[in-house]
Amino acid sequence: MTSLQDDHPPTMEAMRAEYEAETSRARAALIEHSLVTMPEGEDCRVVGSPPFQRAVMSVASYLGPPPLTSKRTGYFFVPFTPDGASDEQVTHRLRTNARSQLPTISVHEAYPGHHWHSAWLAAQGPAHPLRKVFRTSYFSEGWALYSEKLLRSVGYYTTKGALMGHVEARLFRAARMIVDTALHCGDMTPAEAESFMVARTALTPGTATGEVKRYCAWPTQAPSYLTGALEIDLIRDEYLAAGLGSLRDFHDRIAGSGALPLGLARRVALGED
Amino acid sequence: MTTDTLASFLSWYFDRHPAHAAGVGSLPHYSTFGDFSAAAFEQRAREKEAWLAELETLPRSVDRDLAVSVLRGASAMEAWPGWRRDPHEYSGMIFFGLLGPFLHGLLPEAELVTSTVAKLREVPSVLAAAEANLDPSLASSLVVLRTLGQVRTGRSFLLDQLPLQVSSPELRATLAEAAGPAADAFDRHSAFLEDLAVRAGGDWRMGEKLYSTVLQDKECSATGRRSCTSAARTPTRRWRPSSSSWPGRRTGARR
Repeated sequence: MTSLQDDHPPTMEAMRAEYEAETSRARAALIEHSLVTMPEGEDCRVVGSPPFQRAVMSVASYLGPPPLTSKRTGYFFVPFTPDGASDEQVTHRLRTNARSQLPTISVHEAYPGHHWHSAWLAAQGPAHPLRKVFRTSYFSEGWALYSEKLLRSVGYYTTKGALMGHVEARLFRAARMIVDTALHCGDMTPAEAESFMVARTALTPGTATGEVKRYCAWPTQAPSYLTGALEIDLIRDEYLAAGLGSLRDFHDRIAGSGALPLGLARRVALGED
Repeated sequence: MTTDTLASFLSWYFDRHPAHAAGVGSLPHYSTFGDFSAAAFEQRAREKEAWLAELETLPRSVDRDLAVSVLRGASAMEAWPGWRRDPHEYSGMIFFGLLGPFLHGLLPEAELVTSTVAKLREVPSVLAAAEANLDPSLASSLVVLRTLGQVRTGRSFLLDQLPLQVSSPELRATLAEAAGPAADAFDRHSAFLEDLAVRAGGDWRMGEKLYSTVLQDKECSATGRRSCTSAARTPTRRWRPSSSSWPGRRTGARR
């Protein structure tokens, strides 16, 4: 991955433009393979992260449409560096958004990751408003990581580099599980966590520093990605084995249920109202 | 009965957490951040316990169980309250609470500016509440310094970037004028956090007991499987920084 990261967009704005192009490609793939139902009027805008967020977020993020309304526009925030960042810090950030990594990250943030999920949930009727208000990252991030693997199954990652970027992204989430639990249970210091992330993932030292601070400040969130994705895999197996519908039906059903705690998501997927 | 009770719970929740309500599109909650005094936090905690006791008597359903998981998670976190130790609880809500309505575009510009001006007027009192509530014995310097980097962007966000969310020069001027006292409050808050970071002696570590409780009671909510809790907990007990034999495969969630 280190050598693949030499090939990255040259500037922050170029990074945003390349994410925008990749997001369009992910949307087209989603439609081509009929993996989900597209909600009417959805729109994912790819923009630089708000300046106030740049100091606390080193990676891409997303803000969804307000789910109790008819709006379906969401925002994919590309992780710009804070104002005043050094050339080295900018390079670190661009290297952790290398061209080999843009496909899997775009799938995660947009289609069918956070944006599709949020727009689809907003398009559900008014019967269960609580499910539009209360969310857990164990489902929402689990769904987005599940999405990354789902797109691999239809051949979305067309180069060896993109496939490596996809696999590395999964490894990154596994590393987060180790680091978050170890940090908060007193088995690892922040410095050790940074070293671990640099050694075991494609994070540059600068991005690893920001990431570890995030884990320290936000316990239990970092393990939610892989934990949720693995659980959704299992629920899918149960759904399909029981003959409850097609793969597309499963996606529509479980993602339309909200971002429920995983046990509740399973109950809805398997038939409970 | 259950549906009515859950609707009442949601209505109560929105009134007590207007920033969250506005974020999901509740227009009646667009003009205020809410009450961030210690008394209000403590009152909300008592009311949440009362709601939990009431909802636990209802027949099980997905919606009822969702509400119970939210309340149990909040109850568990009362042992380590974010509003006493994490300044991001205040500043993050302010930043997104001001920008979000413009991104969502649920109201015409003039109405958005009216509601935003009302919230800008609350910024000094919200940050003053934060300064009164944050406890140096609970806050950690690591967490405080992380938020400090964000708070330092407050002035430029309020005066330079927020007004650009509207197209009318008059409305931009209205926003910029209303943002002045809020920007001053952010400057004062930056100085406060710089000092707090020096005095803070709390631990950012959640600890295994609370970590496990949050996973079991809130995030996973009775999966009936080991995946959620075991995935998060097992590596902790086996990882040692000096170990050269830590294999990634041992992180499998199904172990």
